[in-house]
Amino acid sequence: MDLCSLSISQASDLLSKKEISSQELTTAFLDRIDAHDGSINAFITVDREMAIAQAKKADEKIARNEKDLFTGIPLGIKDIICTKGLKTTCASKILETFVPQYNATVMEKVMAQDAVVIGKTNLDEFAMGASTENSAFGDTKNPWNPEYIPGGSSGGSAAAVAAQFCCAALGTDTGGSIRQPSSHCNLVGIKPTYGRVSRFGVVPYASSLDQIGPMTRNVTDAALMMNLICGNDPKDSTSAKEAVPDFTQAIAQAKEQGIKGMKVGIPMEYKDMDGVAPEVMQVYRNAQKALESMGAELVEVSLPHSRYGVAAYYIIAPCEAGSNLARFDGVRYGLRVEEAGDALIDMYKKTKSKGFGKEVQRRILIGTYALSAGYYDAYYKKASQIRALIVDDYEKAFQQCDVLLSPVAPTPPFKLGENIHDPLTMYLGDMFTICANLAGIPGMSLPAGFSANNLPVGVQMLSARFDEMSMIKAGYALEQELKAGDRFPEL
Amino acid sequence: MKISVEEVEHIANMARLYMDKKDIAPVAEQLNRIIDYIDILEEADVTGVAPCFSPSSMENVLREDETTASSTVDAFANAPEQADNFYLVPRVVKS
Repeated sequence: MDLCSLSISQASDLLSKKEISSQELTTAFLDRIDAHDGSINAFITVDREMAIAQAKKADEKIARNEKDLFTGIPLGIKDIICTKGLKTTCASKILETFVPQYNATVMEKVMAQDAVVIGKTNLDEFAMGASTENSAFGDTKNPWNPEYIPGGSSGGSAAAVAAQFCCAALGTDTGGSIRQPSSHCNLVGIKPTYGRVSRFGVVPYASSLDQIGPMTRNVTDAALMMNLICGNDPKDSTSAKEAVPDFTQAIAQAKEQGIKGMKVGIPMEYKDMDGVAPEVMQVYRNAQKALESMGAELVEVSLPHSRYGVAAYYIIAPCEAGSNLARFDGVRYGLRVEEAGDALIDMYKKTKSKGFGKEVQRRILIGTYALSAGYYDAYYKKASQIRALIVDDYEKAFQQCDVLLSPVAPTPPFKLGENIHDPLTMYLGDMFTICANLAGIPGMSLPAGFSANNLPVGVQMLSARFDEMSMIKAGYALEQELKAGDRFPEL
Repeated sequence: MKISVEEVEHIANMARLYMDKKDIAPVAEQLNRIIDYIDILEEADVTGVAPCFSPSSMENVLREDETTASSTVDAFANAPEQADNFYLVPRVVKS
């Protein structure tokens, strides 16, 4: 049996039947990481002993017939999520040696079921980027072709799942950082509604936009992981009090009733856009046809302010980042750079300049500029007003449809190094994903096809706030129809 | 809007970032390209629109002021320099 190809539901089933042990499964993944991660670089930290010890504990729990769904399942965890006793670097020199003293709330949920942390995955530093080329610990390569980017910022998580280094992974999404790498690596990725998942213990980039979510081999696994991680948390004052449904019920509904009569919104603004690759549009149109063939109704909707999304985001996110990252000052944790005779302010400046990479410094500068005296109204306030208009656009659109369908990224994965010196082009790559973060609505990336050079291209489904069920239902039906996710890259 | 080299120096100082003289002009150029793009916001009509700062409900969340497990973690465990339950920093006032 090829243990490394197992999904969460398959592995959990075999563990329940005691046909495999978590130690066998965990060892298989660790051996595969040893053999292949040298060329992929999906992980920043792999603690073999800790993983095996967790697997052993899981096996004991299974032997006592106390198994939960995730007991013994090896997961990759984006290295921006605090793991007690396990280094959490945010892919930054400034946190190279940081060992959290507590778990993020999502990790408490993961560990309560005795899942196994196979390793901490690579990312763009502090989740700022779309290619995982901004990591202080080296680029991550796309397992489908190592000359190409895996996407970002959760590129390590995406590469780890695609390369069969773990059953699934957790990522974070501030402007598309779960959905775009999922698309580039042929995975299912969900950014839940803002507030669904506690952000406690996730190192904040832009607090009003960040959300944790699953990156998995299929829609069923994504729904299972949503069941694990969602829910109100008193430690996160922005976490929602809304009741959390059993997300697998959406899949049961799709199986029983199909999606006949579901209304799928097609934004008219996305029909004919500059800068979108023909291959991406082809995959997008195919997905529309597939949904139509299953009886869904395509409805034209309008998102008139979506064209301002990238500009509004690149004000709002850097403003929040500039404020959030002020905490890394060489005093309470992380790197300190100091020379004899330095005053406090010199220590601050040297620490930040040595500790933060170029892109992080660039965003801090944009944020500081936009919030500085005389510019607040022109930038931060204006961007926040645009944000309100984007929220309205979606509210109107979801009065006409159950889900929205769009591309994920305007191009298939690009080559490593191709855009790294051109931040603006990199930013424009977020055009289809960013508005969901601004509006706080859930979004999902699904495998939908391949480019001419055999690189994955996904499609995105969006639904109204707290209505992940519609998105998962339609997403499951589309997955079954397209069958684009049923394959793995050869390493 | 154009950001000048002097402005970049001023912003960097406010953000507590040290910048090499030779890096300032290229950074200013990059920031200007980004700001030029962001200026498309000028064309949007936002008259009378209340800004949205967060998609959550923005209500105060209160709890009892009680000690929890997280208040007892070792806050100094990751400190670069500390002594007697204080963080040590370089001298602030010159002697």
